[in-house]
Amino acid sequence: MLSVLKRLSYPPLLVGGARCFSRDLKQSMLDAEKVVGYSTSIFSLRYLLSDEVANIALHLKKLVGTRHPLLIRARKMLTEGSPSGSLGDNWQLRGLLILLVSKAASTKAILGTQRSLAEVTELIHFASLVHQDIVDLENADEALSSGNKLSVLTGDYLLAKASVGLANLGNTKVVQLMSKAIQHIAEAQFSQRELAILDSNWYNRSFHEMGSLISNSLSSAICLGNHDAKYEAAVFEFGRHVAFAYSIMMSLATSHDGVDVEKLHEACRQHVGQAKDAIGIFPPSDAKDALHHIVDSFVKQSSISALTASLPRDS
Amino acid sequence: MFRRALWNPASRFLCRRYATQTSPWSNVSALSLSHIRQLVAEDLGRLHQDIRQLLGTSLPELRDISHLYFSATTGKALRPMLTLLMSRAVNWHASNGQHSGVSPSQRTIALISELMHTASLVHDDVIDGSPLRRGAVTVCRRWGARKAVLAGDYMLGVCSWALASIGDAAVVKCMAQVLEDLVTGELMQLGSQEHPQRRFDHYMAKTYRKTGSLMANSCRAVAMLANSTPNTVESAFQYGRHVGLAFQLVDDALDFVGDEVQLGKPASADVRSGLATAPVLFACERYPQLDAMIMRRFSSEGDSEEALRLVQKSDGIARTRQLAEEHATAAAGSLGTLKESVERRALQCLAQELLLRDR
Repeated sequence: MLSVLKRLSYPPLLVGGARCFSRDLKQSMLDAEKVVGYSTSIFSLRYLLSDEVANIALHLKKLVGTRHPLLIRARKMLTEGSPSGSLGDNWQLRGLLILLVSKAASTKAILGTQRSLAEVTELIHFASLVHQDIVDLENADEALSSGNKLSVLTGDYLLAKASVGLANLGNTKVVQLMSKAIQHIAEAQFSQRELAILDSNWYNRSFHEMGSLISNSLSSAICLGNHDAKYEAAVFEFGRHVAFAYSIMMSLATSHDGVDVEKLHEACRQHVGQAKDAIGIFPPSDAKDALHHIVDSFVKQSSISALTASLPRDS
Repeated sequence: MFRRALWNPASRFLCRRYATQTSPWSNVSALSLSHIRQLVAEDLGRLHQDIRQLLGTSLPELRDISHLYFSATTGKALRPMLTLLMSRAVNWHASNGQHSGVSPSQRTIALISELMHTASLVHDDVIDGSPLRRGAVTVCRRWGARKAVLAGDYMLGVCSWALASIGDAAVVKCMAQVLEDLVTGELMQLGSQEHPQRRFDHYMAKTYRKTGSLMANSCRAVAMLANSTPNTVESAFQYGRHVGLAFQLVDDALDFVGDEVQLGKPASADVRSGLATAPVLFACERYPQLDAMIMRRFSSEGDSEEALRLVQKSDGIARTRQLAEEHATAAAGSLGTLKESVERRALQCLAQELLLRDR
């Protein structure tokens, strides 16, 4: 399967100016990985390399040349270690946050169940992206239809693995929290598409699309560590604000037309502040510092984007 | 004459024992399907309403899609019926004849079995590109593939939440396994088995995952919730497994004899979509020319029609029904250790009744 994917030859994808992310953001992620003892991707394509799904590779081959989103997604994972591929090398935000929060909440080592949860969370995220990539077909386009079928199966397989992974954690409360996140992610796709950023509807959809998975997985991590309920509530709030800050940052990085960049930059700053306040109750630690650095880099990134927006187009 | 061996060694033994002698329960009066259904009518009656409540969402499109298959009792609701009957049967056994009332947790498993099944149908229809389901236009035809898949994901999320709310980690594991089996079964169908000798085993393994697993694990789950002994839990599981296999075998046979109006979905669908099911695999023994057609998934012009003709000419359909009967018999046999009750009898009769259906 690896050889199949490596043979793909698509030009590198540029998502607006997202390729030029600040050194701060990349560095904060790398430093964070050192804190939690991970240098490789939390979730890799190993699930898709198993015998059971060897068929997927065979059928994926037939998609070469069709530009079906599934192919592009898989390539991003392979070459950049992240399904979105736009924010740097080999890191996965959600899983990393889970490991950091787990470390910050305890003096002991990160639990095996917490690491497993991090992987499950990235599985769910990837599965949801794969399912969202399905294209509605007006005509019976054989190739794209085939791509759709593979997308359904790939996403289903990943979700099933996630479900089994969750079940093996032996904690039904965690399963409940993560199930809610899965519901929310799917639901978000049925809400109105064109929403004004920072509108209350935008916040609502943003929470469903991104915040819920982060908040619920962070709460789950605390739950698995048997920590105080107040830590659960704290990380839930942290997760919400991190997601909002991140979404605003991404919005600033990708488009500037008709947008009040100063206002967005300020909103990003505020959410980052609220995120840091939320985890104020955690004792000082390297992990807590790493979390601060990551969210601070969102603000730095958004200020860079705001600055870029103010420059003349041709510079 | 020795019949085609059942693929699982344990059930092969059961099959031989029960197939060659009179069934021990045949002295007891048989229950009709409507009588069987009556035993759990109250719980079944509220089923769709309760599922709609679980799926409650403020988003109109998602609500419409989610409710499409839960607005009336157009489906057979076989899985919930089975689950509810098994609940009563194991409760009666576990309480040593004191009571059989279905617990709220067991009811939830019944709901989940139907919800999980329906979500998988929605995804299957996208994969197969089907225009019809239960006599009506499919979700993917009406709302497009993307929304159909996402709605299915929503249903599964709700399913997992409801399952977890029971609060039993072992039961969660049991039902999560179904999700994995459903998709690996579908993936097995995507691939093909090169060796003719292994083809039948591959087909039965796929059939277990796609159909048997949900029934088997739903039965197992409610037995676990009744605090049954490991033997009883296993008996319940085996019942569900055999019934699931019997059910699918009949379905595969019907595909060669039914018509669209009768079935509520396109007929001869399996061969047309490149699938070689039991009737074809049996027919291939007499007509080896089917081998090449199976390998190329009936993709050449005229393959579907020729395959249909050869299957109908052979004893493929009859042997499929025979195998279904063996599994139905084995299903009934699995419950032999349970304390006698009207629900146990109903389950045993249900296995036989399923063989007689025409849709």
